[in-house]
Amino acid sequence: MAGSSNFDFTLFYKVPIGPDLTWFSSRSWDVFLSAYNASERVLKIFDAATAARKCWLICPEYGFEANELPEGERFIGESAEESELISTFYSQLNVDLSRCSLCIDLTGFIRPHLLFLLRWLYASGVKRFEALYTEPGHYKAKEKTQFSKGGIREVRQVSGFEGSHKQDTSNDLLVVGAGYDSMLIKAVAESKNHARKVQLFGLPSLRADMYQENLIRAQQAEDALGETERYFAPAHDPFVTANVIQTIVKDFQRTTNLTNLYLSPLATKAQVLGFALYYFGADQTREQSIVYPITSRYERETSRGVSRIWSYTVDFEAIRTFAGNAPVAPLRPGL
Amino acid sequence: MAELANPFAVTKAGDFTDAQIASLWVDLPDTGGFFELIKPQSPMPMLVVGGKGCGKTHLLRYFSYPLQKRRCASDLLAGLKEEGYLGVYMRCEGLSASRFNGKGQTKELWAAVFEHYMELWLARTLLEILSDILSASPALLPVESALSERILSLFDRKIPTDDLSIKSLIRSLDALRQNIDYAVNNCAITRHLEVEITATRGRLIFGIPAAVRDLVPELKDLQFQFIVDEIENLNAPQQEYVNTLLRERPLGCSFKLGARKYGIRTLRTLSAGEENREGSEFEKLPLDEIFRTNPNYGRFARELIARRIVEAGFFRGITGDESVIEHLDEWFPPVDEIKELASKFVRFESEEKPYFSRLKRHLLSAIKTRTAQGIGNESGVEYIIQKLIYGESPLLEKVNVYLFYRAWFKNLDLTDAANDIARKCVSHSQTPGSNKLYSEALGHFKRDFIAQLYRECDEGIPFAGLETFITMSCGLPRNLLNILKHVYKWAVFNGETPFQSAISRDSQTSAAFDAAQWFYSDACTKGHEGPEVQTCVRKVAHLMREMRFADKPSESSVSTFSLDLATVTSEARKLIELAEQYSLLIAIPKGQKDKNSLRIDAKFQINPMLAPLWDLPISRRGTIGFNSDEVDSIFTSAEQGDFDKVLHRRIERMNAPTFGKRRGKEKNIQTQEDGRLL
Amino acid sequence: MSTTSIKLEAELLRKIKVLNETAWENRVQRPLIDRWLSNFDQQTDALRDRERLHALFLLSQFIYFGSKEVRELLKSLYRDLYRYPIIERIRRDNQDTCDQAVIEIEFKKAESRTRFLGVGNPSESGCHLLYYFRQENQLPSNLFIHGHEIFTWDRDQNKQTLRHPDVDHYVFIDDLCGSGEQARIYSQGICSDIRSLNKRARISYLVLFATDASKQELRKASFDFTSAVVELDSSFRVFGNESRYFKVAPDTIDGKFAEMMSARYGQLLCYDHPLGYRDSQLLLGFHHNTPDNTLPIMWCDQPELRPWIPVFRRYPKYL
Repeated sequence: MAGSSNFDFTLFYKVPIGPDLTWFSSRSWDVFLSAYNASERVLKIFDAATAARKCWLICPEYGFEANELPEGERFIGESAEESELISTFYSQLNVDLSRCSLCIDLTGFIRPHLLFLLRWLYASGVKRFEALYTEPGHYKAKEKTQFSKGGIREVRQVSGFEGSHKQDTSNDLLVVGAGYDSMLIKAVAESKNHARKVQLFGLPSLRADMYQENLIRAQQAEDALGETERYFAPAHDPFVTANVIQTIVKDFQRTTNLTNLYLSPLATKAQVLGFALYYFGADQTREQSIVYPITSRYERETSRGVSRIWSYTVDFEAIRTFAGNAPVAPLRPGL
Repeated sequence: MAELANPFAVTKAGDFTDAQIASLWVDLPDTGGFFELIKPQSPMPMLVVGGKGCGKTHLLRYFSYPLQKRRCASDLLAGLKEEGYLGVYMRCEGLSASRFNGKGQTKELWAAVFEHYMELWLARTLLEILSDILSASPALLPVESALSERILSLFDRKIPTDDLSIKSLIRSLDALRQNIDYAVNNCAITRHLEVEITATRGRLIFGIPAAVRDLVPELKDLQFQFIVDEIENLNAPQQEYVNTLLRERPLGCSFKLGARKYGIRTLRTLSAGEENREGSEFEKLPLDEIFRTNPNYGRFARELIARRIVEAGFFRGITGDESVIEHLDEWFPPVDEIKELASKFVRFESEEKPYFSRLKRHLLSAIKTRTAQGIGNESGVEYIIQKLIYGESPLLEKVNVYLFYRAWFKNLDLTDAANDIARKCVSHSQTPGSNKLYSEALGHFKRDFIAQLYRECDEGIPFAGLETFITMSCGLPRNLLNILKHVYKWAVFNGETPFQSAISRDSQTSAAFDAAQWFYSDACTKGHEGPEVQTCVRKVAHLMREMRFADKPSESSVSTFSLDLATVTSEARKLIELAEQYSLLIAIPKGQKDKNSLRIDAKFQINPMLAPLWDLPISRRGTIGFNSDEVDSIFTSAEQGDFDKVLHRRIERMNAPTFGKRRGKEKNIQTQEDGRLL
Repeated sequence: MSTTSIKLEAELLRKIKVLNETAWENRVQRPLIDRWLSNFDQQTDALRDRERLHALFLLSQFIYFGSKEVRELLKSLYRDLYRYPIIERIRRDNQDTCDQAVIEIEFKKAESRTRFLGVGNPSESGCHLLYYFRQENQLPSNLFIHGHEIFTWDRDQNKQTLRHPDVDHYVFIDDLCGSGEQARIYSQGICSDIRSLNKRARISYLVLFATDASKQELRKASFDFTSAVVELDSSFRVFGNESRYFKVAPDTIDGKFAEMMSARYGQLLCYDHPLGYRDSQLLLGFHHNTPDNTLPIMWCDQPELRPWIPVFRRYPKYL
């Protein structure tokens, strides 16, 4: 078991590539997965990647019509519920991903889908894989850019990250990966209105002005958030993000006996990966879950241009070894 | 002083500790206060409903055990006995109820698993309280093992425990609950669900109070009140279970359920599908409605504000709440609009005032079409304008222009009309009230004329004054606190010193606007219909604003509409209901009598919190009666639908030069850009 | 002012208020904004209003990093630009090991052979930041030296030698590399002196912010490795062709007008660099100072030619 010490996720390899795409010419994988949307930064990378199987995952939240879909191998998700969508996708993919080289472009994924995919890969014994994340030039309407569309159906735990919780909620903590989508922040903060709240901001941000833009947006949720403390992790770095969540928990526990921990990754997909990694590497006896405000629709295109592209080598095997091969809660030994 | 924190920074009771719930508590200044409303000793269950921010959670937590304990610090048992009840408080959010769903399992199975889970949860909450009471009352310790044994016997099978103590029981319940967590969560991956139900429905939560009453004489007369807050987090089958508990409750146990207005999904029970009926199975406490109709709401609001200010450290040890209350209206002063407008209109000394320019434009175009009776040429127009000018008062000039439009609408001779209006104006200014028609027009439309005058100076209406803010909050104290939070922030930004001197009208107005924007977006955070409801409300507000700023408004200070709900589409009805549940619309209890049919129509007011976004009035005067076509074109999920036509038809009648009399092809009317939403 | 302009002004003030509360450490309140706007004193009402609206727009785009943020960036500088490359090398040299104990031992060894220095005079921002850099990253003080402590005079051999001969990595730290010129000049003397005494010595130049324009200049510098926590590409030049500031600006805002206005006042304030040092055209400020690469209309104080109230005051290097 991980015990009281923490795994240092920043040991994992990461490399900035691009914006020119020459790096891809020296790489190839058995399987390349990406979630389709209309952003240049998603489409370009898919085109540049070389793999024996390149597969688009079509998420229903983007609302693409059949005639708008890309050519090639694709899986059209019908259920928006992540465990349903990913398990069906996985069975249709029909390949043992623990035995092949895998690259996943995180950029276009809907967050709960990405989280459950990671959960599934972790449970399936995948040792390591490469993850890509592409930074935008800028968001379409700067601090006024809209991401999720329609109202929030519910705030709920993400499948596979539900955990078991204490009834005593006197010292609950909610860690919000605060992105631009203030409506999501608002919703999750309200759903955990009794918990103390920490906002994890992307700093350094993807571009120098985005940190302030982010603050402006997040401020729209200030009433729901109440008093919060700010923490920071680079918007592009999942590994530092995972480490910083460990620090947040440690800091909180220094003064208080943490009852339940809720994590809500609402910022970049790179940070979403970081939240999942934290969860896998954390003490599995802790009461914790990942919560997410579910909306029915997302904008297909929210950014312009391509800036840096990041490649991360995610080493699940190292996390498993560190955690003494303990299964991730909620799985009990033997399952 | 400026270094002190914003006293209104926290607006939600959920954010408060028990100590803050106690220290910020303000009772309703009626005889009996909230105790009489909540009736915690009553065996009759109660549904406490209200819009977001009406104070449900603060109220329900106040009646929960942790707060009772604080109140009974000197002698817990005696204190509880005196209060006569034990408040077992839980928030449904903690159950993460939405996970008891899907994952390839049947609804029936989920219902059974959820019921058991909630049963364990409530039982554990109660045990935690008992454990606390026991540890605070050594005299009761001898009964602990018998009590534990009795509680263990409530389970359908033997439950392993370390010993016969309440704490061990709590651990056992935790283990049972955790097993359900594991099974439910694993189900997402394994698609298989197996949960052991260890106690029959109701056995634990009703059995434990019975055991306590039998074995602990000191607590035997207590009413066990299960205070279940945030019921909106449960789906319909889950609420059926709660409704069933409520129906099957034994003597000595009762429920207070807290819910948002939209949160009650069903009143059905599992007892042969019967519904719980208001009045026989439960009583309802519509909290915000009570605030709205309570004549003491203003006083309550002031006490609430003063408590916050003092608790934040302002005047601590210097003065009490009462003397702070005395100063509140000085710190949040209203605007003398007439005086302010007079100074703003100084700039028009050398140029024509906008309402005369507009009138002149209309008349010149009417001359060409011969639709302005009694005016033949440009000099005639000039004569009219000269007659309507009353230099000392833009407000009286607005009355003149309005009366002139009215005469025009009636096809009167306009030169005669102008002469007549000029006479009445002079007479009124010499002896106010001397001319009934003139005084009525002024009295009736004064707020609208003022709003129009501000717009003519390119400014929005000021929203300032404590009374204004209390009216805007419309029975939702959180809205009031939110406005004041923004006022404080704007005042600091503008370099002012809150609670030392008056806060400027600019700070107050900007804050009202920010709070309005917050309310508009916040009202719909939950529920996927949120944006559709917002769109509908935006359309109504847009129409009302166009009416208010028309040449000849048909109604004064319109912020209310009426309709016959029986004749509209089900979609429209649903959207109206949702808008009311989100508090964007306020239902007016007695409705509106239809002038023709004498039918009583439903009546709704746009929540005055939204007034700054569309420059609407905050008080309720005129009402628009919508026909069913109009309702259907406004309350539809279609973004715009036929709304533009409805708007055009309505507004055309109120604007010169045609007043809607020229029929034929529809023309686009120019309306100001939609709302002042940024 | 037209209705549109009045609305825009209100919107900009609202945005500035939020920035002030969330990012600007409450430094810029309304009375200061009003005083700063009064600098724009064209004779006609219309022109004055237009200038003030554009000034307000520029202010609403200002990027400011407060004390907490600068400290965070200093953490990032250490963790991401200094520590990570060493960790990566250690792992690669050790069959991609994730053994934290092994990695930590190797890293500590490398770190003990490193010295961190500020760029320039000890009173300048590079050196000033070093203190916070050490605090935030919990580093021992013996890893820090002043520029003059790199070398020592060996009296026996009567020549300059390295004071710490076992040190093989010198890391120079600065807040902003605007033009790159200063870093290049600074590097040329010191780097060649170090190398002449230790050929294996590695010399890094790590900054919090660097502009695209500085990259070219830095290539001419003698550092082995240069990197920035935040890169400011050409879109951060306010009036450049690729400026990000006017891409989604309201219709009322005219980039050309804003440029002419900034240049006109800038020339009165700072004749040689009206749009910031070497035409950097930045809108950037820090808790500890505002760089001269930012538009002078934002920071200029005590100018010889014209009294000016700055909104983000700059404390000059040489008083």
